[in-house]
Amino acid sequence: MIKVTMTVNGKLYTREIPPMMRLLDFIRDELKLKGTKEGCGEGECGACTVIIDGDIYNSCMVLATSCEGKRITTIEGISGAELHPIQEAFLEVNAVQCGYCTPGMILSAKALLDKNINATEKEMKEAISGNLCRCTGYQKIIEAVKLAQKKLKKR
Amino acid sequence: MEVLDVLKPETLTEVKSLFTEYQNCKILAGGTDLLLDIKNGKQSPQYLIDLGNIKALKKIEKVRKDIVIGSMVSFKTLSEAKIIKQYFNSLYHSAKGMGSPQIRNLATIGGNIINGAPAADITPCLISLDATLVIESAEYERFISCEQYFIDYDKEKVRENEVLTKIIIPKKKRLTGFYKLGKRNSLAIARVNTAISIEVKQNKIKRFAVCLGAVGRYPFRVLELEKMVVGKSLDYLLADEVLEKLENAVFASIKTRKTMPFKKEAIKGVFKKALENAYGEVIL
Repeated sequence: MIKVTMTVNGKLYTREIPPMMRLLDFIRDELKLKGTKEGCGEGECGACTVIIDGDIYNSCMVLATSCEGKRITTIEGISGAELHPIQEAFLEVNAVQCGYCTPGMILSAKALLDKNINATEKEMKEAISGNLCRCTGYQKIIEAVKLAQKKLKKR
Repeated sequence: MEVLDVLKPETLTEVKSLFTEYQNCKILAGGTDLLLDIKNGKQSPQYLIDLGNIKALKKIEKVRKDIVIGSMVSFKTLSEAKIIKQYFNSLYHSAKGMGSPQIRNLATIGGNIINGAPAADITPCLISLDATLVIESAEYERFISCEQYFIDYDKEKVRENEVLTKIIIPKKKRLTGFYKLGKRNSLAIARVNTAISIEVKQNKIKRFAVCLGAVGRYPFRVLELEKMVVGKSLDYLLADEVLEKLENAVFASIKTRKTMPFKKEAIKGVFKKALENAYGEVIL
Protein backbone atom coordinates (compact mmCIF):
# COMPACT_ATOMS: atom_id res chain seq x y z
CA MET A 1 0.00 0.00 0.00
CA ILE A 2 1.18 3.53 -0.68
CA LYS A 3 0.05 6.86 0.62
CA VAL A 4 -1.39 9.48 -1.68
CA THR A 5 -2.74 12.97 -1.07
CA MET A 6 -4.71 14.97 -3.59
CA THR A 7 -7.45 17.55 -3.78
CA VAL A 8 -10.72 16.36 -5.26
CA ASN A 9 -13.46 18.91 -5.83
CA GLY A 10 -11.76 21.33 -3.45
CA LYS A 11 -11.37 18.85 -0.60
CA LEU A 12 -8.03 17.38 0.44
CA TYR A 13 -7.93 13.58 0.69
CA THR A 14 -5.18 11.29 1.98
CA ARG A 15 -5.54 7.55 1.51
CA GLU A 16 -3.47 4.37 1.64
CA ILE A 17 -3.96 2.62 -1.70
CA PRO A 18 -2.55 -0.27 -3.74
CA PRO A 19 0.21 1.04 -6.08
CA MET A 20 -1.67 0.21 -9.28
CA MET A 21 -4.99 1.76 -8.29
CA ARG A 22 -6.31 3.89 -11.13
CA LEU A 23 -7.53 7.40 -10.50
CA LEU A 24 -10.95 6.19 -11.70
CA ASP A 25 -11.12 3.56 -8.93
CA PHE A 26 -9.80 6.02 -6.38
CA ILE A 27 -12.64 8.40 -7.21
CA ARG A 28 -15.38 5.76 -7.41
CA ASP A 29 -14.33 3.23 -4.77
CA GLU A 30 -12.30 5.21 -2.24
CA LEU A 31 -14.19 8.49 -2.39
CA LYS A 32 -17.52 6.92 -3.42
CA LEU A 33 -18.09 9.55 -6.08
CA LYS A 34 -20.00 7.57 -8.68
CA GLY A 35 -20.54 10.30 -11.26
CA THR A 36 -17.33 9.37 -13.07
CA LYS A 37 -18.14 6.41 -15.30
CA GLU A 38 -16.03 3.57 -16.62
CA GLY A 39 -16.72 2.85 -20.28
CA CYS A 40 -14.02 1.05 -22.20
CA GLY A 41 -11.23 1.19 -19.60
CA GLU A 42 -8.78 1.74 -22.47
CA GLY A 43 -8.79 5.49 -23.06
CA GLU A 44 -11.04 5.28 -26.11
CA CYS A 45 -14.43 6.48 -24.88
CA GLY A 46 -13.86 9.37 -22.48
CA ALA A 47 -16.67 8.34 -20.08
CA CYS A 48 -14.17 8.50 -17.20
CA THR A 49 -12.94 12.01 -18.10
CA VAL A 50 -11.90 14.21 -15.17
CA ILE A 51 -10.13 17.56 -15.01
CA ILE A 52 -6.64 17.50 -13.50
CA ASP A 53 -5.05 20.91 -12.96
CA GLY A 54 -7.22 22.40 -15.70
CA ASP A 55 -6.75 19.73 -18.39
CA ILE A 56 -8.90 16.72 -19.20
CA TYR A 57 -7.64 13.18 -18.71
CA ASN A 58 -9.08 9.69 -18.93
CA SER A 59 -9.05 8.67 -15.27
CA CYS A 60 -8.82 5.01 -16.33
CA MET A 61 -5.33 5.68 -17.73
CA VAL A 62 -3.87 7.58 -14.80
CA LEU A 63 -2.55 5.98 -11.62
CA ALA A 64 -3.94 7.55 -8.48
CA THR A 65 -0.43 7.75 -7.06
CA SER A 66 0.66 9.88 -10.04
CA CYS A 67 -1.88 12.50 -8.89
CA GLU A 68 -0.02 13.29 -5.68
CA GLY A 69 -0.55 16.97 -4.90
CA LYS A 70 -2.82 17.58 -7.88
CA ARG A 71 -6.23 19.18 -8.10
CA ILE A 72 -8.94 16.96 -9.54
CA THR A 73 -12.42 18.03 -10.59
CA THR A 74 -15.13 15.44 -11.18
CA ILE A 75 -18.71 16.02 -12.27
CA GLU A 76 -19.75 16.28 -8.61
CA GLY A 77 -17.42 19.22 -8.17
CA ILE A 78 -18.74 21.63 -10.77
CA SER A 79 -22.03 22.58 -9.13
CA GLY A 80 -23.18 23.70 -5.71
CA ALA A 81 -26.80 24.26 -4.72
CA GLU A 82 -27.61 24.99 -8.34
CA LEU A 83 -26.58 23.24 -11.52
CA HIS A 84 -23.62 24.54 -13.47
CA PRO A 85 -24.66 26.45 -16.64
CA ILE A 86 -23.23 23.64 -18.80
CA GLN A 87 -25.42 21.12 -16.95
CA GLU A 88 -28.45 23.38 -17.37
CA ALA A 89 -27.74 23.71 -21.07
CA PHE A 90 -27.48 19.93 -21.52
CA LEU A 91 -30.91 19.53 -19.90
CA GLU A 92 -32.50 22.40 -21.80
CA VAL A 93 -31.57 21.18 -25.28
CA ASN A 94 -32.03 17.48 -24.44
CA ALA A 95 -28.39 16.63 -25.01
CA VAL A 96 -28.73 13.68 -22.64
CA GLN A 97 -30.23 10.32 -23.52
CA CYS A 98 -28.78 7.37 -21.64
CA GLY A 99 -26.51 9.76 -19.76
CA TYR A 100 -23.45 7.55 -19.53
CA CYS A 101 -21.19 9.86 -21.55
CA THR A 102 -22.65 13.03 -20.03
CA PRO A 103 -20.30 13.61 -17.07
CA GLY A 104 -17.29 13.27 -19.37
CA MET A 105 -18.86 15.45 -22.07
CA ILE A 106 -19.65 18.18 -19.56
CA LEU A 107 -16.14 18.15 -18.11
CA SER A 108 -14.55 18.30 -21.57
CA ALA A 109 -16.81 21.23 -22.41
CA LYS A 110 -15.98 22.89 -19.10
CA ALA A 111 -12.22 22.57 -19.57
CA LEU A 112 -12.60 24.20 -22.98
CA LEU A 113 -14.87 27.06 -21.90
CA ASP A 114 -12.79 27.74 -18.77
CA LYS A 115 -9.80 28.34 -21.02
CA ASN A 116 -11.54 29.92 -23.96
CA ILE A 117 -14.99 31.35 -23.48
CA ASN A 118 -15.00 32.43 -27.14
CA ALA A 119 -14.38 28.92 -28.49
CA THR A 120 -15.65 28.29 -32.01
CA GLU A 121 -17.87 25.38 -33.01
CA LYS A 122 -14.82 23.69 -34.51
CA GLU A 123 -12.99 24.01 -31.21
CA MET A 124 -16.01 22.61 -29.39
CA LYS A 125 -16.08 19.59 -31.67
CA GLU A 126 -12.38 19.12 -31.16
CA ALA A 127 -12.77 19.44 -27.38
CA ILE A 128 -15.32 16.62 -27.17
CA SER A 129 -13.64 14.45 -29.82
CA GLY A 130 -12.34 12.12 -27.13
CA ASN A 131 -15.82 11.53 -25.69
CA LEU A 132 -17.98 8.96 -27.42
CA CYS A 133 -21.77 9.19 -27.35
CA ARG A 134 -23.77 6.35 -28.84
CA CYS A 135 -27.21 7.95 -28.41
CA THR A 136 -27.39 11.57 -29.46
CA GLY A 137 -25.32 11.81 -32.61
CA TYR A 138 -23.45 14.76 -31.05
CA GLN A 139 -25.60 17.48 -32.64
CA LYS A 140 -27.53 18.15 -29.43
CA ILE A 141 -24.35 18.07 -27.42
CA ILE A 142 -22.74 20.75 -29.57
CA GLU A 143 -25.96 22.80 -29.29
CA ALA A 144 -25.74 22.44 -25.52
CA VAL A 145 -22.12 23.58 -25.42
CA LYS A 146 -23.05 26.63 -27.50
CA LEU A 147 -25.94 27.44 -25.19
CA ALA A 148 -23.69 26.98 -22.17
CA GLN A 149 -21.22 29.40 -23.75
CA LYS A 150 -23.99 32.02 -24.01
CA LYS A 151 -25.06 31.42 -20.42
CA LEU A 152 -21.50 31.68 -19.14
CA LYS A 153 -20.86 34.88 -21.07
CA LYS A 154 -23.92 36.46 -19.45
CA ARG A 155 -22.78 35.67 -15.93
CA MET B 1 3.37 -10.96 -10.54
CA GLU B 2 2.17 -7.70 -9.13
CA VAL B 3 3.60 -4.22 -9.21
CA LEU B 4 4.96 -3.71 -5.69
CA ASP B 5 5.62 -0.01 -5.81
CA VAL B 6 5.52 3.07 -8.00
CA LEU B 7 8.70 5.10 -7.48
CA LYS B 8 8.52 8.81 -8.10
CA PRO B 9 11.99 10.31 -8.51
CA GLU B 10 12.39 14.08 -8.76
CA THR B 11 15.62 14.10 -10.77
CA LEU B 12 17.30 12.15 -13.52
CA THR B 13 20.17 11.23 -11.20
CA GLU B 14 17.66 9.60 -8.87
CA VAL B 15 16.18 7.63 -11.79
CA LYS B 16 19.58 6.22 -12.65
CA SER B 17 20.30 5.16 -9.08
CA LEU B 18 16.91 3.43 -8.90
CA PHE B 19 18.06 1.15 -11.73
CA THR B 20 20.73 -0.29 -9.46
CA GLU B 21 18.57 -0.40 -6.32
CA TYR B 22 15.58 -2.16 -7.87
CA GLN B 23 15.27 -5.12 -10.20
CA ASN B 24 12.58 -5.64 -12.82
CA CYS B 25 11.72 -1.95 -13.20
CA LYS B 26 9.77 -0.35 -15.97
CA ILE B 27 9.65 3.33 -16.78
CA LEU B 28 6.23 4.95 -16.63
CA ALA B 29 5.92 7.92 -18.98
CA GLY B 30 2.33 8.83 -19.94
CA GLY B 31 1.17 5.28 -19.33
CA THR B 32 -1.39 5.17 -22.13
CA ASP B 33 0.17 1.94 -23.43
CA LEU B 34 2.06 0.59 -20.43
CA LEU B 35 -0.83 0.57 -17.95
CA LEU B 36 -2.98 -1.39 -20.39
CA ASP B 37 -0.13 -3.80 -21.10
CA ILE B 38 0.23 -4.45 -17.37
CA LYS B 39 -3.52 -4.87 -16.95
CA ASN B 40 -3.64 -7.33 -19.85
CA GLY B 41 -0.64 -9.28 -18.57
CA LYS B 42 1.59 -8.39 -21.53
CA GLN B 43 4.14 -6.82 -19.20
CA SER B 44 4.75 -7.64 -15.57
CA PRO B 45 7.28 -5.31 -13.95
CA GLN B 46 7.66 -5.31 -10.15
CA TYR B 47 8.43 -1.63 -9.92
CA LEU B 48 7.35 1.35 -11.97
CA ILE B 49 9.52 4.45 -12.17
CA ASP B 50 7.13 7.35 -12.78
CA LEU B 51 8.95 10.14 -14.64
CA GLY B 52 6.04 12.57 -14.18
CA ASN B 53 7.82 14.74 -11.60
CA ILE B 54 11.03 15.31 -13.54
CA LYS B 55 10.76 18.84 -14.89
CA ALA B 56 14.00 18.65 -16.86
CA LEU B 57 12.41 16.09 -19.20
CA LYS B 58 9.42 18.29 -20.03
CA LYS B 59 11.27 21.07 -21.83
CA ILE B 60 11.60 22.02 -25.47
CA GLU B 61 14.73 24.10 -26.07
CA LYS B 62 16.66 25.68 -28.88
CA VAL B 63 20.30 24.67 -28.46
CA ARG B 64 22.59 26.14 -31.13
CA LYS B 65 21.46 24.58 -34.44
CA ASP B 66 19.15 22.03 -32.87
CA ILE B 67 15.81 21.77 -31.17
CA VAL B 68 16.01 19.53 -28.12
CA ILE B 69 12.79 17.92 -26.93
CA GLY B 70 12.58 16.26 -23.52
CA SER B 71 11.26 12.70 -23.60
CA MET B 72 8.38 13.57 -21.22
CA VAL B 73 7.01 16.32 -23.43
CA SER B 74 3.34 15.52 -24.02
CA PHE B 75 1.64 15.50 -27.40
CA LYS B 76 -0.38 18.47 -26.21
CA THR B 77 2.76 20.48 -25.45
CA LEU B 78 4.30 19.44 -28.78
CA SER B 79 1.25 20.52 -30.73
CA GLU B 80 1.03 23.87 -28.90
CA ALA B 81 4.73 24.79 -28.90
CA LYS B 82 5.40 27.64 -31.35
CA ILE B 83 8.92 26.44 -31.92
CA ILE B 84 7.68 23.05 -33.17
CA LYS B 85 5.10 24.54 -35.51
CA GLN B 86 7.68 26.99 -36.82
CA TYR B 87 10.40 24.47 -37.65
CA PHE B 88 8.76 21.06 -37.98
CA ASN B 89 5.40 21.20 -39.69
CA SER B 90 5.25 17.41 -39.94
CA LEU B 91 5.81 16.91 -36.23
CA TYR B 92 3.25 19.57 -35.39
CA HIS B 93 0.56 17.92 -37.50
CA SER B 94 1.43 14.47 -36.27
CA ALA B 95 1.21 15.54 -32.62
CA LYS B 96 -2.01 17.47 -33.18
CA GLY B 97 -3.74 14.54 -34.84
CA MET B 98 -2.78 11.82 -32.39
CA GLY B 99 -5.43 10.19 -30.19
CA SER B 100 -7.89 12.52 -28.50
CA PRO B 101 -7.47 15.64 -26.32
CA GLN B 102 -7.40 13.39 -23.24
CA ILE B 103 -4.73 11.13 -24.72
CA ARG B 104 -2.65 14.06 -25.99
CA ASN B 105 -2.56 15.52 -22.48
CA LEU B 106 -1.11 12.29 -21.15
CA ALA B 107 0.92 10.58 -23.86
CA THR B 108 4.54 11.59 -24.36
CA ILE B 109 6.94 11.74 -27.29
CA GLY B 110 9.34 9.41 -25.46
CA GLY B 111 6.63 6.86 -24.79
CA ASN B 112 5.60 6.87 -28.44
CA ILE B 113 9.17 6.06 -29.48
CA ILE B 114 10.02 3.51 -26.79
CA ASN B 115 6.77 1.61 -27.07
CA GLY B 116 7.86 0.90 -30.65
CA ALA B 117 4.41 0.37 -32.12
CA PRO B 118 4.36 -0.20 -35.90
CA ALA B 119 1.73 2.52 -36.31
CA ALA B 120 3.36 5.08 -33.98
CA ASP B 121 2.57 8.59 -35.21
CA ILE B 122 5.68 10.45 -34.13
CA THR B 123 8.38 8.01 -35.21
CA PRO B 124 8.08 8.46 -39.01
CA CYS B 125 8.36 12.23 -38.50
CA LEU B 126 11.43 11.90 -36.31
CA ILE B 127 13.13 9.56 -38.77
CA SER B 128 12.41 11.85 -41.73
CA LEU B 129 13.75 14.82 -39.72
CA ASP B 130 17.07 13.07 -38.90
CA ALA B 131 16.32 13.06 -35.18
CA THR B 132 18.82 11.68 -32.70
CA LEU B 133 17.81 9.94 -29.48
CA VAL B 134 19.75 10.49 -26.27
CA ILE B 135 19.66 7.45 -24.02
CA GLU B 136 21.23 7.56 -20.57
CA SER B 137 22.21 5.14 -17.82
CA ALA B 138 24.10 5.66 -14.55
CA GLU B 139 27.40 5.02 -16.35
CA TYR B 140 27.03 6.47 -19.82
CA GLU B 141 25.06 8.48 -22.33
CA ARG B 142 24.58 7.21 -25.85
CA PHE B 143 23.40 9.00 -28.98
CA ILE B 144 21.70 7.09 -31.74
CA SER B 145 19.76 8.24 -34.78
CA CYS B 146 16.09 7.43 -34.54
CA GLU B 147 16.37 5.66 -37.88
CA GLN B 148 19.20 3.38 -36.71
CA TYR B 149 17.35 2.70 -33.46
CA PHE B 150 14.57 1.01 -35.40
CA ILE B 151 16.77 -0.61 -38.07
CA ASP B 152 18.74 -2.34 -35.33
CA TYR B 153 15.93 -2.46 -32.81
CA ASP B 154 16.83 -5.67 -30.99
CA LYS B 155 20.36 -4.47 -30.38
CA GLU B 156 19.69 -0.78 -29.81
CA LYS B 157 16.42 -0.72 -27.90
CA VAL B 158 16.43 0.91 -24.48
CA ARG B 159 17.62 -1.55 -21.85
CA GLU B 160 16.39 -1.99 -18.31
CA ASN B 161 19.06 0.30 -16.87
CA GLU B 162 18.55 3.02 -19.47
CA VAL B 163 16.19 5.90 -20.00
CA LEU B 164 15.45 7.96 -23.11
CA THR B 165 15.98 11.56 -22.06
CA LYS B 166 16.04 13.75 -25.14
CA ILE B 167 15.26 13.89 -28.81
CA ILE B 168 17.47 16.20 -30.85
CA ILE B 169 16.29 17.49 -34.21
CA PRO B 170 18.51 19.61 -36.48
CA LYS B 171 16.93 22.97 -37.17
CA LYS B 172 17.32 23.16 -40.94
CA LYS B 173 15.31 24.94 -43.55
CA ARG B 174 13.10 22.30 -45.10
CA LEU B 175 9.58 21.58 -46.17
CA THR B 176 8.09 18.86 -44.03
CA GLY B 177 4.75 17.10 -44.08
CA PHE B 178 2.85 14.27 -42.44
CA TYR B 179 -0.32 12.41 -43.20
CA LYS B 180 -2.09 9.63 -41.39
CA LEU B 181 -4.78 7.51 -42.92
CA GLY B 182 -7.04 6.30 -40.13
CA LYS B 183 -10.54 4.89 -39.95
CA ARG B 184 -11.89 8.08 -38.39
CA ASN B 185 -10.69 11.51 -37.30
CA SER B 186 -10.17 11.13 -33.56
CA LEU B 187 -8.57 8.23 -31.74
CA ALA B 188 -7.57 6.53 -34.96
CA ILE B 189 -4.66 4.11 -35.13
CA ALA B 190 -2.89 4.75 -38.44
CA ARG B 191 -3.55 2.23 -41.23
CA VAL B 192 -0.77 3.91 -43.15
CA ASN B 193 1.18 7.05 -42.36
CA THR B 194 3.93 8.95 -44.10
CA ALA B 195 6.33 11.72 -43.14
CA ILE B 196 8.41 13.62 -45.66
CA SER B 197 11.15 16.21 -45.50
CA ILE B 198 12.43 18.18 -48.50
CA GLU B 199 15.43 20.48 -48.74
CA VAL B 200 15.21 22.68 -51.78
CA LYS B 201 18.02 24.60 -53.48
CA GLN B 202 17.43 26.79 -56.52
CA ASN B 203 14.08 25.13 -57.15
CA LYS B 204 15.65 21.68 -57.20
CA ILE B 205 15.43 18.97 -54.58
CA LYS B 206 18.71 18.95 -52.69
CA ARG B 207 17.77 16.31 -50.18
CA PHE B 208 14.63 14.25 -49.70
CA ALA B 209 13.55 11.94 -46.91
CA VAL B 210 10.40 9.85 -46.81
CA CYS B 211 9.46 7.54 -43.96
CA LEU B 212 6.52 5.13 -44.06
CA GLY B 213 4.69 3.90 -40.97
CA ALA B 214 2.25 1.07 -40.24
CA VAL B 215 3.50 -0.87 -43.28
CA GLY B 216 6.06 -3.01 -41.48
CA ARG B 217 7.26 -3.89 -37.99
CA TYR B 218 8.83 -0.43 -37.67
CA PRO B 219 8.68 2.73 -39.77
CA PHE B 220 11.30 2.81 -42.52
CA ARG B 221 12.74 5.15 -45.15
CA VAL B 222 12.55 4.46 -48.88
CA LEU B 223 16.17 5.19 -49.72
CA GLU B 224 16.02 4.25 -53.37
CA LEU B 225 13.28 6.80 -53.93
CA GLU B 226 15.09 9.45 -51.88
CA LYS B 227 18.16 9.18 -54.15
CA MET B 228 16.12 9.12 -57.33
CA VAL B 229 14.53 12.54 -56.76
CA VAL B 230 17.68 14.51 -55.89
CA GLY B 231 18.33 17.27 -58.46
CA LYS B 232 14.78 17.10 -59.80
CA SER B 233 12.11 19.75 -59.47
CA LEU B 234 9.33 19.43 -56.88
CA ASP B 235 6.79 18.41 -59.55
CA TYR B 236 8.74 15.25 -60.07
CA LEU B 237 7.59 13.95 -56.66
CA LEU B 238 4.23 13.21 -58.25
CA ALA B 239 5.68 11.28 -61.20
CA ASP B 240 4.38 7.76 -61.79
CA GLU B 241 7.78 6.20 -61.21
CA VAL B 242 8.01 7.86 -57.78
CA LEU B 243 4.62 6.52 -56.74
CA GLU B 244 5.58 3.13 -58.13
CA LYS B 245 8.66 3.04 -55.88
CA LEU B 246 6.42 3.62 -52.87
CA GLU B 247 4.06 0.89 -53.95
CA ASN B 248 6.98 -1.51 -54.39
CA ALA B 249 8.41 -0.62 -51.00
CA VAL B 250 5.11 -1.38 -49.28
CA PHE B 251 4.71 -4.62 -51.23
CA ALA B 252 8.21 -5.75 -50.29
CA SER B 253 7.64 -4.93 -46.62
CA ILE B 254 4.29 -6.65 -46.05
CA LYS B 255 4.07 -9.16 -48.96
CA THR B 256 2.19 -11.82 -47.06
CA ARG B 257 -0.16 -9.64 -45.06
CA LYS B 258 -3.75 -9.51 -46.09
CA THR B 259 -3.80 -5.71 -45.89
CA MET B 260 -1.02 -5.52 -48.53
CA PRO B 261 -3.24 -4.97 -51.64
CA PHE B 262 -5.00 -2.09 -49.87
CA LYS B 263 -1.92 -0.52 -48.34
CA LYS B 264 0.19 -0.56 -51.51
CA GLU B 265 -2.51 1.50 -53.23
CA ALA B 266 -3.26 3.66 -50.20
CA ILE B 267 0.38 4.68 -49.80
CA LYS B 268 0.22 6.69 -53.02
CA GLY B 269 -2.67 8.82 -51.79
CA VAL B 270 -1.14 9.16 -48.35
CA PHE B 271 2.16 10.31 -49.89
CA LYS B 272 0.34 12.97 -51.94
CA LYS B 273 -1.48 14.13 -48.83
CA ALA B 274 1.84 14.38 -46.97
CA LEU B 275 3.19 16.52 -49.85
CA GLU B 276 0.10 18.73 -49.66
CA ASN B 277 0.67 19.04 -45.94
CA ALA B 278 4.26 20.12 -46.58
CA TYR B 279 3.36 22.65 -49.27
CA GLY B 280 0.32 23.87 -47.36
CA GLU B 281 -1.82 23.67 -50.47
CA VAL B 282 -3.94 21.23 -52.42
CA ILE B 283 -2.09 19.60 -55.29
CA LEU B 284 -4.43 16.80 -56.32
